[in-house]
Amino acid sequence: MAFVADFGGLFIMVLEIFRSIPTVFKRIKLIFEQMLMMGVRSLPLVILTSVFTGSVTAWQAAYQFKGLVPMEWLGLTVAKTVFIELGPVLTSLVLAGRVGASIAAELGTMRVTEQIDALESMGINPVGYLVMPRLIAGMVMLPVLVMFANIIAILGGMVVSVALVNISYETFTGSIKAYVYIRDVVSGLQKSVMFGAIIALMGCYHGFNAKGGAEGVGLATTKAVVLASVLILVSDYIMATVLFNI
Amino acid sequence: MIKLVDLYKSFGSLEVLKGVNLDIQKGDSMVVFGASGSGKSVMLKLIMGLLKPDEGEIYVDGKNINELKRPELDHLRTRFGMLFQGAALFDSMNVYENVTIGRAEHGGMTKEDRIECAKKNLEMVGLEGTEFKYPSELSGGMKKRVGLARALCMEPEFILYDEPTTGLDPVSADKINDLIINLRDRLKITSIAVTHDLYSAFRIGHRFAMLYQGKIRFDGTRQEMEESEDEVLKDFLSHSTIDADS
Repeated sequence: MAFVADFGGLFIMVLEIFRSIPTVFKRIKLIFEQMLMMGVRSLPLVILTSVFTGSVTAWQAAYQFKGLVPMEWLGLTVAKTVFIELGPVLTSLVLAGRVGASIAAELGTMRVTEQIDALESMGINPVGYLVMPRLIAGMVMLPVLVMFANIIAILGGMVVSVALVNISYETFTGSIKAYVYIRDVVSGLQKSVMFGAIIALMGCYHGFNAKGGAEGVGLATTKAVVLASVLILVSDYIMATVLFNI
Repeated sequence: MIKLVDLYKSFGSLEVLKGVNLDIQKGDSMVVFGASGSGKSVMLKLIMGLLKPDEGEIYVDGKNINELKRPELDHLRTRFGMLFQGAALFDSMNVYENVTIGRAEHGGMTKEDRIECAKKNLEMVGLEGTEFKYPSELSGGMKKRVGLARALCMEPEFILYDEPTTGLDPVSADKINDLIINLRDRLKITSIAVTHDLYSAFRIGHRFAMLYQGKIRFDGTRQEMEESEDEVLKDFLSHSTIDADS
């Protein structure tokens, strides 16, 4: 029953967002503020996680290749894995924690302290004012962060490959240049647009529906992060089946 | 004129309003009092359209607000000002931005006019010079006064006060009472205040209604209230700590 109510509530929120699209230029300052918060301020965390993601991918791949697959394929394996899967998914999961939680906590606090009611009482549509800018910022900034994450992860993988696995820089990059296609990069970015929307929507929806006091805000934050993470993984599988034909 | 007709509102199994009927005429200074949890704030939120009644109608100048579409309701809300119980100031905005957000959103005012509007209304509530402070830097009483300035900046025809003096020390509470009296007498704004503070009620109101067990138990002047033989009303009055001359 609660699932049906949540689904209905989310559907109504999405309709409201579409209705508020004509006000997008009026909200441009708010959108940039959210882009700064979600994008620029998340960059250190994204760099830190992606450098280790790339490094461990290279190390694990080298371990599994040993004696079975020539090491000249190591660069290709790291790059494809990062572009198609690890870059978008791990960056999104990290941001579900950082950004999704932050949105849910902020809007949840605004709900329980009647700030959202105050907006409505002045004839300001809170979905247009609070949700739409966050959704657009999420959908724009996630792909940007994923691009950064991809580059840093591959650099991390390259450092490990050259320094610890003892293959040359040319060997590592040779297979990347030959076999990484533009569609590998684009498909990962397409997924990250969807993941950005999921993170922002889950944060906004659960924040908007927070009840009670601090406990309600905490619960809303937990729900936002957990559901965003689950939906990222589910939609990742669905999009993989659509984007990549075997 | 505001007319409440047979209003019912429940939250789950908790029936809060069970058939509220009340007329508020233009220029009235109505105070609705009753015990904590009797549904006073719910009634205000129903009038603003922030909550939907389960049954019953709310008319504002003859328009049933439950039948209004979102843009019409938003437009109607610009004719109201509301002072929330906890002031509901936006944490991320300074006092100037808080006071002028309604004006900024609905247009029709240049930035200079908005600055002027903020200055005028902050001066009216005795908070000149606080424009660039943030809510976290203000005391409870100051926050309520900023909330009042925000409501006034919209130049409302109706103003709703939700527990205007709750949580304030006697001196700050009296400052708020004086401000409400000043607005009532100078600007002749129709007002509805809900409170359980009878001292404040008698200072700011001309007409009084008692909400008891989800219904309006009494509606009349102070004199009628003091002459009433209603046992519940007499009991409520006898438990309040006001003297007859206040």
